[in-house]
Amino acid sequence: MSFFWDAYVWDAIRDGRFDFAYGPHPFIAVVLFLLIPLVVWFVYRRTTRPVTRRWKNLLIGLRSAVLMLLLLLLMRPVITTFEVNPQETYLAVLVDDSASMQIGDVAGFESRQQAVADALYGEGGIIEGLADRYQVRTFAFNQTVRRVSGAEDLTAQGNASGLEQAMRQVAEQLGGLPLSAVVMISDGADNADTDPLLSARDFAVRQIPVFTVGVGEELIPRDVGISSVSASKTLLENSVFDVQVDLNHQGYSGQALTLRVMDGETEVSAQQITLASDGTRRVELEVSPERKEPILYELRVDELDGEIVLQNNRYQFLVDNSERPPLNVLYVDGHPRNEFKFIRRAVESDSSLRLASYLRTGPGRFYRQGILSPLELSAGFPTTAEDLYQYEAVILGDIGRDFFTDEQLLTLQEFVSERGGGLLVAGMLDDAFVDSVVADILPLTLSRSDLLPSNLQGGIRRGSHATGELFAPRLTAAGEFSELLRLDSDDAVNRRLWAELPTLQGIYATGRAKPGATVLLEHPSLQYQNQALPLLATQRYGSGRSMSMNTASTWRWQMLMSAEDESHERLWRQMLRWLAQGALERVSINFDKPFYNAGDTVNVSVKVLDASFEPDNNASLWIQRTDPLGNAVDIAMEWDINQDGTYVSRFEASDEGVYRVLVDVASAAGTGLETAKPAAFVVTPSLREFNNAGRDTGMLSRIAESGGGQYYDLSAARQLINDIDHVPGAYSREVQEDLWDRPWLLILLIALMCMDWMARRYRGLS
Amino acid sequence: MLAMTLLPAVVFAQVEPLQPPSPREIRAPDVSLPPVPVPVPQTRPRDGMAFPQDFDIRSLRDGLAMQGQDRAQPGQVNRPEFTWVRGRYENYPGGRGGRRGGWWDTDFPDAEQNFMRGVQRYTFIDTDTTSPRWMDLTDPELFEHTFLYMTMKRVPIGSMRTGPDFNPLEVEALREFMHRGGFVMLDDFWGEAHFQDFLIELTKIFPDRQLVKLDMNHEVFRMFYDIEEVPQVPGRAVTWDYGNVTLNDPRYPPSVHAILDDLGRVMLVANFNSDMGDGWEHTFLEMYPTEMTNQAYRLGINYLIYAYTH
Repeated sequence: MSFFWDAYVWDAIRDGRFDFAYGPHPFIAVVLFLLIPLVVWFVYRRTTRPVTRRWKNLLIGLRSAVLMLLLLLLMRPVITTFEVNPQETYLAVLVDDSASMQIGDVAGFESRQQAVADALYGEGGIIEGLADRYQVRTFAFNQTVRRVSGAEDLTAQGNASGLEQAMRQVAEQLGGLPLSAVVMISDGADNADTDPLLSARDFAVRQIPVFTVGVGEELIPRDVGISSVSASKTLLENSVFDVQVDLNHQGYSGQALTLRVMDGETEVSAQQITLASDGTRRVELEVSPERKEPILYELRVDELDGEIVLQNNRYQFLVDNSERPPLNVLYVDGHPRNEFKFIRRAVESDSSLRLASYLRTGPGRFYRQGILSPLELSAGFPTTAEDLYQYEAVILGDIGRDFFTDEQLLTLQEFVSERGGGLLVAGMLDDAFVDSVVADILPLTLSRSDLLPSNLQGGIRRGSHATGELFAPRLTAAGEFSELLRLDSDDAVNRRLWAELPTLQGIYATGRAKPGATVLLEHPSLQYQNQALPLLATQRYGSGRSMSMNTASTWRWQMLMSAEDESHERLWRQMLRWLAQGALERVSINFDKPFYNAGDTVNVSVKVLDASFEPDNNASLWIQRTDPLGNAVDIAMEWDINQDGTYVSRFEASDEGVYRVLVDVASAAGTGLETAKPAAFVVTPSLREFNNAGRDTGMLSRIAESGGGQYYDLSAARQLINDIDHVPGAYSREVQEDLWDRPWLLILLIALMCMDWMARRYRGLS
Repeated sequence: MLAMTLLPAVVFAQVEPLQPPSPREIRAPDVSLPPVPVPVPQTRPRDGMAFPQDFDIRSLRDGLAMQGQDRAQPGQVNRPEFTWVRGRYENYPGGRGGRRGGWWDTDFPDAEQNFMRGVQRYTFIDTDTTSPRWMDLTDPELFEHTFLYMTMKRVPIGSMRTGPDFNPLEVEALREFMHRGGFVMLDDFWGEAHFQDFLIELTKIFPDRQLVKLDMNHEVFRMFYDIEEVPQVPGRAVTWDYGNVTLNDPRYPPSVHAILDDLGRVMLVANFNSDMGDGWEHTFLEMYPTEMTNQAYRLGINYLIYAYTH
């Protein structure tokens, strides 16, 4: 029993569990209470010595208060409360032991872990207080849960805090024991995917209240940290890629610092920044990868004076710059022309693209380039799906409808819709295409040329007609931010570079953009049906995508600009990559997370398609994984019965560093797929414990509320020793508790009587 | 038929040394077309199999009237994509008409008009006989084209410092043209002295690139026509022997030399001891061996297709 009323007493009164044991009828009680001041007033009507009215009122008040308090105590007020039999039940104490407990943000820069250890095991500690009445079982949790017996067992090393998982495991471990309550001490920064409120409700259903104690500051006052990093997944050949860094900072406004990207101990990029007002800020850096392999980069921010969390000043990320087989693009053109030449030149030194071209050079003559075997394209445009599906994208130049059979065009349609390939028409299509499947695939409607307004006829050729004139193409809003047409990652620079591009000449009017199409470039003045004439448009078609380029003059971006300028090359590479790289792969490897932390389970799934790009359930797959230390393990992958063509494997990643996997696919006879495909993933030191690592009071309060307990700050945590007894639980019984013998009530009575006596003595009353 | 009989005579008349045109006259030729144009059926440029319907005296008349310059004619809806461009350059003093004269316009425009007719007929390249034109190497418009022809003619054989003397602006333009992707064809220079002279000019453009002699396995000889040996297409008239044609002169072994870019693509070819220009020009000249004309067409077309694919 404490000197003052405990919280549970107030709770009981508030909940109506309050009564008088010897209470007369309430009406009589009220009358008695009203009578007391009346009687006292009557007695004080005349006094032995004259006293002023003010004194008389004071004396009446004091005496009435004494008598009324005595009457209250005589009526024996009681509350109904709960208690457990000492040492008969168990109490689970769960202590957060994850890395975020290292943060030194408790008063006086004490670490959270130290503060908790002191509160639990220090002099007059909570454990000791609770052990009077309960069998206390203490657990430390991070990504796992374990028993601890003292402060020395708390290490603050785990890289995850799973509140839900901790509660569930404790419930299982103590399943058969009479559990009175659960006390959870944490900073509340839960970074597991599961919802801790669910476990708290489970306890509440079993009538086991959950109490929570919060540690640390809600807002870490002085910190600069990297909260997330995103880097381009696909890298332009021999070029730079952008890294976007989200920097969280508090308390360092106006401070200058340097952000560095390190490859091992070599600095590969750096940027000076000055922090503005507190919050999150995005910084972009450019990095050029120097090796053809998965590269593990580390971002570093300067450690500033007085910074509380240093762990989040570093961030590792993996960029897979391995040599990949080039994407295959088939380019068929109807006659030698500048556009053909310069598209070829643009991608010639890009080893991520292979442009196999078939050019009709003269009557009965053709010229093939970029072929892998003497047979490739020897019979012209592929006639079978198997031959066509070798490519990821197809470009049709200025070529007539009569070049293709109906079957070839149907195969081309399936190439886009089923195989997921890309189709680009970069030239004039003759009218015979209007009713063909190509018209269906393209993002622009095809109209017969004689149905177009006369000023839009004339097509792509140069000449003294409206469509043959010079023009500067206009970027649409979608085009300006499209990855296809970016000349620089900076918006302003990009705009300037576009304005500097030479004019084009000749636009081929076909019709309007289809409803699902995205127009990226349009003619600045010519209109068709009140819309600017589209010059470049894209759209999705089935699993694939299509693009129309309605001019044959982009070569001017090469010939009319300095030889050093790479705009033309860059634009065509980006467009062709976009076209090709979305195509389905026959073997695709997926990891369930972008990166892992030590101890995580890695789920790898591999999807295998057969030659006609149908899921292949008859393949046999082996996965070889090589850990950062170079140890290789081979295991067979299992077919996932729930998903066609999918094979899975799972294992634990225990070491930090880059893991490489090599998936070996042997398909069933006849489908002809024998391939090994590499991939890589990274196991990094976890930062999730240090991102948003402030105390989450809201979360802890909600857990306590759902669990039928209460939330305390660590500084007030000792209160729970008393409160915990009186919360109704599965193993508590109902008891009535007298309130009359509360020490402070008796002291109040004595105090009132003393004042009354002293007042009378002072005025000389007998 | 009339054309066929008239033509050699007309062409013959043409081979007289051209009057050195003054630059101003050429840049703005005073062209007066007949008030009612001769109705010529439009031929689709790609219908090359048919004998070109504009094959008549008209092309000669146009060529003379317009000095071959390709100007958009009123009502001409489509101009062909390919324009044959001949470069005019600074010459060593001593050529016709002083430093801006020289021999740059040798065979112009008949050579290219004949050749374009052949290109139109045998390939799908979009061109026609009105396309040939010339321009100064320093003309910014050069970069709107991708193929440049220049004759390296020097007179007489054995002379030094008689042909092109590229000035620094021309050198700069040529180098940039090739680096951007343009293709340059040089023609018609003979004997060791001319070759040395040619090297001097070439060194101005590419001091750090090597001139390579292309062997017959090179793609450029295989890509459209299979060419087994470099033909010695004879020049005639002023070049050497004044008026006669000498075939297979052992003093002048023909060869093709090239400058390659960093990726090994040919940027420039030079026909040494051979003269495509005359081969094309004398297509219809009876005394000129047809075999040599054919060889000139074949090699020229191979160069064009190479330029369009590399």
